[in-house]
Amino acid sequence: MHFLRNWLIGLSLALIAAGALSSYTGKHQLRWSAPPAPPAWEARASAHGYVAVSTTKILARSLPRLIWIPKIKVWAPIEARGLRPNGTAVLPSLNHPFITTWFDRGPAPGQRGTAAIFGHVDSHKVGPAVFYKLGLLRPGDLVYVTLEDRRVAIFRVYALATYRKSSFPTTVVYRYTQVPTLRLITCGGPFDPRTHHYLNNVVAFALYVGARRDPASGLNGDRRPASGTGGRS
Amino acid sequence: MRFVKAAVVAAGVNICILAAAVPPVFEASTVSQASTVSAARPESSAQLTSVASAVPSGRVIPNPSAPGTPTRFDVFCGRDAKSATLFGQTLGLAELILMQSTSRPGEFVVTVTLPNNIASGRFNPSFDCSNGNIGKVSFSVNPVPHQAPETGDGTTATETGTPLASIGYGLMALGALAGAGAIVLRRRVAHRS
Repeated sequence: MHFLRNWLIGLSLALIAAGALSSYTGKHQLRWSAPPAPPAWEARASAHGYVAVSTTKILARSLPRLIWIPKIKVWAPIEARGLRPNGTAVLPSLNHPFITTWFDRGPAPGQRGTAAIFGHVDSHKVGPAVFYKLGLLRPGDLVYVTLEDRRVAIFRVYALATYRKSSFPTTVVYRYTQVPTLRLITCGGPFDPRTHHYLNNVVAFALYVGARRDPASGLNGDRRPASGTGGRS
Repeated sequence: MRFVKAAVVAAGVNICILAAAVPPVFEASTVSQASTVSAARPESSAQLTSVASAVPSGRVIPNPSAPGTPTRFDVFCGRDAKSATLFGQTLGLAELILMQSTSRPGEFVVTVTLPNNIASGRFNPSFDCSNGNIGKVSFSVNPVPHQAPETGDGTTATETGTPLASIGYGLMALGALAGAGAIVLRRRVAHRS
């Protein structure tokens, strides 16, 4: 009996000590890891001076409705948005962190020029948001954009870059390209708690490589594109 | 019988014509990249295909363009023209931009990079030919976002609290239970003795 009592006292102290340490660590540890960023070598080899070459026929303008990126398991609706009066792009609401927006004052995906699609990296609603893993994309990865006319424009990532927001190169990112290209844009890098903003932007540059007609493209939100197994990020 | 044959042939021809008119399902359509406007005549579909269809005439590639985009101005002044000048002031460029002659007599071309701060909208810069012709080319500049987008509220970079905290609370509760068990045992032993 004496032995059992001493054993219980020892167990109690050990559990309380381990619990205190564990709860302290857990309470102060970041709940999620920081958004992945492209490696430095990738960011250095950015799209500056890149000459996109494509022999694929371009598409007629049609509103983009869905984006599907198998590599990072993103499958998300796209809403068309323009510019705010201050000249910044209208972005998805943080209350709807799995929606992306397409800049509708520029070309549509598959048209000549640069189509831009924005998505949040995180949100208080859910934590990691739709483009949280954008920095994991690498050249060669495919991006599928389903258009309103039920064509699926296919893009291949050719570069990734991280830019300081204070010197964001709008010309490099948004300028006209002779062939259809796509930019996927989100935030990344260090977070400034004073301004409540990330200091960087992560941009994926992709080149249009073709299209297919896909009647089962999930435009009604009920079915995913016919091939692949991507899921929502 | 002859009438029936003629009707069958006519129906076949009609079906062929209709089939040719319907675009194939998998083929993407090609969108015109350039547009042309002449000062001499109103815009017409013929002018969209050839810069040399009217005198003077011109086209801009790409159209619409965007700030910071190299943009080509292609004008036709007439075969007797020896030089041409583009007026770039409305675009925020040099007032007079000398155009280069091409292999086609009377055709001149220049490529300029539109300023990053050019406003969006429609522009009609003029050009002046050495043979006295004066024309305008019309094109649009699409807007682009001016600043870096703010996409995220920093939740993943700032929010703390992992499941480890809950596990720790559970361990402390178990420790308290074990301690209570030890106290109960001690009291029982004391009560018996």
